[in-house]
Amino acid sequence: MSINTSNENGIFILIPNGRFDGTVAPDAEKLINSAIEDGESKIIVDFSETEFIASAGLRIIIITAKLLKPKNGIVALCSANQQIKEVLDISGFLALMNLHDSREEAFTKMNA
Amino acid sequence: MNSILPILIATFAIATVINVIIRRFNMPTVLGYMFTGAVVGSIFDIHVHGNETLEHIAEFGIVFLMFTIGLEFSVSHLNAMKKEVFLFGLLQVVVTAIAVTIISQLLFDVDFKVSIIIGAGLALSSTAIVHKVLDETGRTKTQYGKNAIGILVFQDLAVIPILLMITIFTNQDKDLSELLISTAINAVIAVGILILIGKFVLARFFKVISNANSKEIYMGSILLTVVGASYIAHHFGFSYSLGAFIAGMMIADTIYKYQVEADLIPFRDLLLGVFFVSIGLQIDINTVLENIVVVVLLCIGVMFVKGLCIFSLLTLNGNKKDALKTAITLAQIGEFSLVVFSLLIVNQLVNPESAQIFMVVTILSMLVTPFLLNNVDKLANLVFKINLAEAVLDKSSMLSGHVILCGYGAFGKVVSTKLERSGINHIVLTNNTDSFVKAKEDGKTAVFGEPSDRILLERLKIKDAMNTILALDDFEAVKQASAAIMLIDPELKVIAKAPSEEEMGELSKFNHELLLDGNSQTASLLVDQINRSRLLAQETSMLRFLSDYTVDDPSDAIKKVEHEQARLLDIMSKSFNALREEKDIMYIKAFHDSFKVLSEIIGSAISAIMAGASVSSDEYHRLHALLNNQEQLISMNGLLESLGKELKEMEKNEKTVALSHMAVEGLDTILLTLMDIAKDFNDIDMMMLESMTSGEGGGLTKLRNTYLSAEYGLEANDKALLISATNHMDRLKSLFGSVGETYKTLAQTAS
Repeated sequence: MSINTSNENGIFILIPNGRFDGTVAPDAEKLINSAIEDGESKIIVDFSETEFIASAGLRIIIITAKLLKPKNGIVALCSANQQIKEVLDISGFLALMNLHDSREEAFTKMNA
Repeated sequence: MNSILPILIATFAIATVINVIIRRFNMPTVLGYMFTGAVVGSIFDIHVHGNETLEHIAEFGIVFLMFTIGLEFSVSHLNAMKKEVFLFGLLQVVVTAIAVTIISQLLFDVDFKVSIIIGAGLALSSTAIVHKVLDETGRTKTQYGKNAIGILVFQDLAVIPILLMITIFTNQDKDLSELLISTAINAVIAVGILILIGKFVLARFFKVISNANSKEIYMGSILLTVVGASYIAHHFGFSYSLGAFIAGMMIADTIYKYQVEADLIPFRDLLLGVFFVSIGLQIDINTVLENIVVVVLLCIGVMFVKGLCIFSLLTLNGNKKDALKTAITLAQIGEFSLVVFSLLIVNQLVNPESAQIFMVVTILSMLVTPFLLNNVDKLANLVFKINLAEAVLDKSSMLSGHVILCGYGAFGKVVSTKLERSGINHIVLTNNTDSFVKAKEDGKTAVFGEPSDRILLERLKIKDAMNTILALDDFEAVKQASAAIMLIDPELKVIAKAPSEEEMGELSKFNHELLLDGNSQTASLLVDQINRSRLLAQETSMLRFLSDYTVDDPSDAIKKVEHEQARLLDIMSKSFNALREEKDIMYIKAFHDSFKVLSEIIGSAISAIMAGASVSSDEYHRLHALLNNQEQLISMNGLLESLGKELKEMEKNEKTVALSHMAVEGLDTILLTLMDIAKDFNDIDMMMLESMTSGEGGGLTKLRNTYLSAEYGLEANDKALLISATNHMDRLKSLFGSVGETYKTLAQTAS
């Protein structure tokens, strides 16, 4: 499985491995959908094991934010490498959601 | 000499300034020359009549024009166009002449014989203007272009009997039968001499001249042919133009046709310029001002009657829309009519003032012609509905257009065979007599001429070509042809063969799409790429929603436009995919080309719906928003095309390759959100798009500054490329946001 998930402090964490592109995006979408159906409203996408993200991967994050919006939920990102930071800059994602340096920082901010 | 210099300087200065302005508005230079004539004439008080030198120079403009028209009328071509020339042409001249004769008899107190001459004179249209404008705008091969040219050729031939008629009506001394017999004998002798020379001497003469390999000897021999043939015709009592036309027809059957044409065109156009200036000189501004109402009414009346006759005749024989376009094209009165009116004055058949009024009416009708011709499609669309399926076919034929293959050596021959197998139309262009003959023997469409000749390349419609392949064995010739093509349009698609790596480097400044070595495997690969791109472009530009809309149901038509317009975003997304998958440039270009075709069709559909009578105020607002969107989408496609090339360049540098890939992913993400909004608008998507495109966080500026910082160590060229690419990204993002705003407006007006 190229995507791991975990649940810590009441927050659902999605951890894509390697390339987060069109081949893994459908799996990621299923995992997130079922988490939201289970009532999760805080989600972190942790890029610590992700090398590259394609538009298909970014789209999953947008869909997640869109699904959480009516539930007053929140999405945050963390631990991005230089390439991922660049794509987030270009796509204007950072005006939509926060990027944190580490998962711990994300926890702190989300629970604040 | 002293007195003529200021006039020449003023003429060149005024003509240059006016024509530069006129070309900017995409109008033909004909107007500029005529206007120059009118201005110079009134400043220096010059008149053409009685100025024999000026009359002769001006007449030779028409002579060279008729020669180049003759070049397109080989005997076989004339045979193929016999319906347009002999049926439509004869009917047009006879019916229009009769109609005008009857009207002038009923309305004006004119002598019957004079009415016939005026009727015949007014039946003629302007070959000089119509042919030039159709040629400049590449419309000679359209159905109405063919109709118009066919009729014009017949009219030019009809000048002979009309001039003869004036002689008969004014000549009391000579016996009519004697006159007819002497004219017939002269015609047989003159045409006989010209045909015999053409058949037995011309081809051999030009072969000897070609082997001399000297441009000026070649040019001189062409001038000798044209002037010589004109002189023979004139010697036997016919117009100079007839001789030139027959000489052109004779050369049309030889292999030298295209090269002769290419060499002569600058000369012809210059002399035609003089002719149009001389037309302008004939405008007596005082007569125009004193009789302005009569002149305008007569002009409208004559053009209406002529147009009506042509429309009625051609409607019986084919498509109504083409008939209307032909009628609009030929409604003006032509330059030969001016000759007829001059003869009426000389023979005292009408008073000079009436003749001057007719002349001014003629010139006015010629003046409005370029405007009418530039808008002929719009005018016809006002009367007949646009058939979008037809429009797509037209545009697709542009996409699946021809390939120009320069050179027919070993490599050129392989490329040609592969192109033929893939069903791609191509024209072989070569300046080598042996290659030309070989290509002809292989059944190819081959043209003899220099691949570096800009005029020749434009005649072969290089701008409409799918690709131009330089498969020349001589490397110098490849460079010359590349330079010529760059001058025509640096954006043209060119593929060149270079013998070695070193020479490939030398060609890099020419912005070619592909550089090839000369083996047959490369040829095969190349043709596969062209073919794939062509099929892709055809498929993508097919209409999905707008194929059956009607302006009578604007609400339904607007919905169809919305759906079709949203497909433009799909095409853009596909070109992002092509960039991601590192497809070749031709493949990516296929998407940009199909975008252009589809967006043009959508644009014309929006205009047609807007012009419809039953559009409500709300619908008008929606259409306005769609039009606004259309403009933004076109800008987006242009930006994406430029950015695509820059990203490809950035991929070549290991320091910027990752950024190039990230740019594709980042921008595609925003585009995907915009596509969701276009398909099914909702507030959350819109809010997200607004945030992503607002520029908050200064993402791109931060990124740009990082890459430009000293620690990245980019070279100056790479820095310039990076700045340009990030600027394009910024603008693209901002346009994504604006298009989203338009969809928001559309959603609000729908609810």
